[in-house]
Amino acid sequence: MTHLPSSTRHEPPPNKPPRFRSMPDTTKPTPQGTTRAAHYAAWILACTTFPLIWMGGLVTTYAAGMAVPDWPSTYGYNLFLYPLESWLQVWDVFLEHGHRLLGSVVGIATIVLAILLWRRDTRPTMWWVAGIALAGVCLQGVLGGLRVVGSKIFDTEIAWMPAPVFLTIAAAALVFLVQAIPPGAAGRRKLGFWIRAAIVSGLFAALAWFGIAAVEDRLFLAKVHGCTAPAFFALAAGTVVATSPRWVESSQPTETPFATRLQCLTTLAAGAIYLQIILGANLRHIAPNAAPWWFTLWIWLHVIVACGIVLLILWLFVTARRHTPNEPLLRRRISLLAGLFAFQLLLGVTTWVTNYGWPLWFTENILAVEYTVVAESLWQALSTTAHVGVGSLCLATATSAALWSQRLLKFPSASPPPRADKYRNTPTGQSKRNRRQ
Amino acid sequence: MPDAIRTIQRAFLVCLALAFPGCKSANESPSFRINLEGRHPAEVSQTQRDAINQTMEEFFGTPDKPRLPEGTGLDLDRIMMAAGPVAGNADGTQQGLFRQHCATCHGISGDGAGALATTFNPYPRDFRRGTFKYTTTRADAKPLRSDLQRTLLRGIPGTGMPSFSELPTGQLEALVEYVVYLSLRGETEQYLIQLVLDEGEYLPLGTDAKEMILEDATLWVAEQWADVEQNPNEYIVPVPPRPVYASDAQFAESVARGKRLYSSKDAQCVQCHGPDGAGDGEDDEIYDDWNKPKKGVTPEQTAKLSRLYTLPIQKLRARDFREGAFRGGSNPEDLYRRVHIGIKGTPMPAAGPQPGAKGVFTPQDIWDVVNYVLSLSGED
Amino acid sequence: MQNSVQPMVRDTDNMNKLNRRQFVGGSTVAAGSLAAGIAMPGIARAAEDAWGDLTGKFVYDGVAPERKKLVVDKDVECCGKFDIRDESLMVGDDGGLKNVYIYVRSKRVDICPDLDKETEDKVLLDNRDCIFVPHCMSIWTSKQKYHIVNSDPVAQNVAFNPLLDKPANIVIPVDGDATWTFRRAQRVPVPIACNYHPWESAYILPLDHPYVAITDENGSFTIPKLPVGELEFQIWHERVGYLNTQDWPKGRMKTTIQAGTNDLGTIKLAPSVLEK
Repeated sequence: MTHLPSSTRHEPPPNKPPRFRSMPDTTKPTPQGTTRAAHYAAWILACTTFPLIWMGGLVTTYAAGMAVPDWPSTYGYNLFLYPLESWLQVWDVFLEHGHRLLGSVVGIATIVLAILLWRRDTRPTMWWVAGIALAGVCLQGVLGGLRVVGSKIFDTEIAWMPAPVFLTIAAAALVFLVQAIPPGAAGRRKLGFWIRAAIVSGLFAALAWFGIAAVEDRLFLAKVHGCTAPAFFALAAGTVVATSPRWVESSQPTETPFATRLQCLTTLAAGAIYLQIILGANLRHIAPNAAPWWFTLWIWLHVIVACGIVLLILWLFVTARRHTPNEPLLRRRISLLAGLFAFQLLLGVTTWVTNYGWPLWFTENILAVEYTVVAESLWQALSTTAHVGVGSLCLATATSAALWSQRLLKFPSASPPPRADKYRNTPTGQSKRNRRQ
Repeated sequence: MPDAIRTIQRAFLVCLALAFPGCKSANESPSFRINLEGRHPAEVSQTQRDAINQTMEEFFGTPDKPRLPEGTGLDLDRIMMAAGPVAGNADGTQQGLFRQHCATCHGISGDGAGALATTFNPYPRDFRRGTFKYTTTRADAKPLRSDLQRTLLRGIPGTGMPSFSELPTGQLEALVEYVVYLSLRGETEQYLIQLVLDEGEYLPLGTDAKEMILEDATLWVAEQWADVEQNPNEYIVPVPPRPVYASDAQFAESVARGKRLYSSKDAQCVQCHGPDGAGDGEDDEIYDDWNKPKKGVTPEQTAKLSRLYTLPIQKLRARDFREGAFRGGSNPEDLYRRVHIGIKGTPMPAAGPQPGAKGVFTPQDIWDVVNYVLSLSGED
Repeated sequence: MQNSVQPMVRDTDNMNKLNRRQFVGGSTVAAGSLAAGIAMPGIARAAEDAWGDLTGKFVYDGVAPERKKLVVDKDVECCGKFDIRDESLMVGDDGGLKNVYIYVRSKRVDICPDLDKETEDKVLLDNRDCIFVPHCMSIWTSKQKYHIVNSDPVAQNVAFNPLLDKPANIVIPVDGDATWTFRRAQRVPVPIACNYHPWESAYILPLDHPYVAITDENGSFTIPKLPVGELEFQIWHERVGYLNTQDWPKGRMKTTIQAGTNDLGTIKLAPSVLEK
């Protein structure tokens, strides 16, 4: 009986394609996994999602969310059949209906991408990504629709309906997961499997909870809708990265002791930027009867996290500049992130000033500016919506940087066992001595 | 398999437990907030609260469905346009204007304590006192609708109050009417609160009591608003044309006269605005009417009192004329009105003549003072 | 006999007057009875009906605390020379409590026609020695005007904001004066402040009848020519508002006035009653 080494890496049986593999497996040469078509489809998806986020931002800026009272129809017309003149005549309807149309375009792009990934990509991870993207875009559409009609549909105790539905789905998913692993296999005893199962069930539980809380609460739905969009955009950006030729063809990552730091920092940056987006969503969608300190609280959080991200990005930038001479791609991504974030900070300032005027401490101590805020002015709408759009772009760039740092860098490990010697018993004493050196 | 089933069962229970927190949100139909400024919440019983809320709803409805008692003279159609949740129609008409443009700062009840209130200095206006700062009417009179519309159009420079010049006139009129509605509601509520909490009127309030509130408070205040609209000549402060000066020397003389008047003991401008108009007068503890009740004699008392109010105490800043950002408008005519009428609800008094009081300055004096102030701000 | 209020007719074109129709309950009560249900300036009775006086004396039953010296930091050259002290609790040598308001609270009260003739048409507020003189006043809204004078060598300001009535913020130049009219009665005295001199304070109670008294230095008061019958009185002091005692919850006192003098006697107030 072969003695399997006690390595933490998941070794598949030699004659079956890998099923659940953590992404990416950088020590093995990856198969030629995708086609140019998939890469282009990913780019098209990303490039259509970005303007969609801008449209969504404009809808909130002009409070046009309820300009169309029904969904998925528009004033009784089918989504694609609403008369052109009526659509273009009223600004609010133009925004809301246009947002829905562009959303359907993104949906089609997602379907195309998903098909290409399922058929042409050999990496199972990408199949999961395709599935999640498809589920994500459907979820976004439904969220948007519920935000408009939700309280009308679920006006009675039927509001509890989504929960059992989701719970059933969660149970079914769990059963499926468990069934997929043959009984007695080593996999069932692995912690990783149970963690994954718990995450999936947790996700469905969260959906169930959201389902109840959100369906009655339009404001909450609007916030979730606004937070799912950047996540989807980041997913699209990640797909662009993962289907790019460089990614697929890259074999040996550069070994550098700063790999872990860079990987952690980029991942942390992406997470922190997403946190900023969530905070921003709470600043944009304020309940009409919120307490008077509500906005001050969230603004302080938003500013504090922004300061944290500035420090993070500075550290990242310096580390990347100094310690990745052989990875210009990664350096470029990080520089782009730094530049975008600096622009985002500037946009934040202009958003504040065009919406709320110059703060008192500024006019009293620094420069007395006579400025009157103009509601719904071009500058106000532009800078506020740009702040939303560029924020999503920052998230996408950070995601890309994080993925590339995972792919291109590797922490130097102490004398990895060569492949041929995998099943040979290494004299423990000798290896320990090596390690001590 | 048995352990998997057990896991599934546990997961199911966890999901169930997590699912229950969801509940119907109050965001969909917000209600007006009761005005308990300056009162300890524990001193107000639930019965009293219910009586007040119920009476106010009977008279004025809810933020989504406003009502008006008969005879107030307010335009209910305009109020309906401004009330309710934000929505649009296919033809471009808008609904919920107040909630879209105003409620985040001024609050859903017009109490100046919206979600953004603490971000601003000065705080957004609390309409419930029925006092509005920048008007063309006499110091003791209510504003005209056109005064409120001017504030909406112009905004207030140097503060968070935007200019709504991008909105069509119909929407502005609807907003103005809704503000008057909130103000009327606020003053009625003040009377009702005094009746129920201070006077201990028997609850539940009977028809007699409600009639009395209607007559004594709502219609009384509504008449004040209507009176100003119907007899504008009696209430608007006339602004004589600005004197034209033949030469620079004459203008300089006027400025010098203005400076003398400004610094005179009769006017006491220097107290707050300082000897050079820099806003650094010896009186630096000034408060407007909304914040004055929060001030106690000692800092501990102030802290204690402040807690009974929604917003913490905020000092007023006497205008620094060198900055030039005059809140009520920077035209010479606007400044004339400011000096003549004062600023309602603040320590800035009416220096010009009004019925029953000669005031400190004659109209000619006021122009001299205005010239002086404008010379300080560098505008002309 | 005074008539009830004429119902005002609404001119829908000009909206000159408001039509005060009922809306609560949907019942159609005639305007006359509506007026009767609301507080009205009293319907004058024939002079031969009996009228009574109410007298009494309020005494502070304890050692009077020393009146705090107020901070005078504005116009010090002019006002600094006066010994300006807190006037919120003024106790005389024999313990008499000054500046307690006693006024009729009942909604309907008949007014003696003699009082109609005897009352002066003005109530004076003087700015003198950098304080308001007197500290507590009352005014009959339908008969009297408020006359404010300035006897100080600096300009003074008088600011007050009665509930639902016009707000006042008047500058009185040196040797100047102003006249003010109150348009409605109030339930509690209105505080008066000076924006230039923050230590100054006074109170005025506008009522639509003359039955109010303010205790003097000895704590004594007299309300003359009250209508005979049961009346409810309100007792108020600036320190605590309504004088809440065991006998008088919320400072309200019901008593039957008889012809002649009705003496409440000496009313001793424990210091705890006047504690903030």
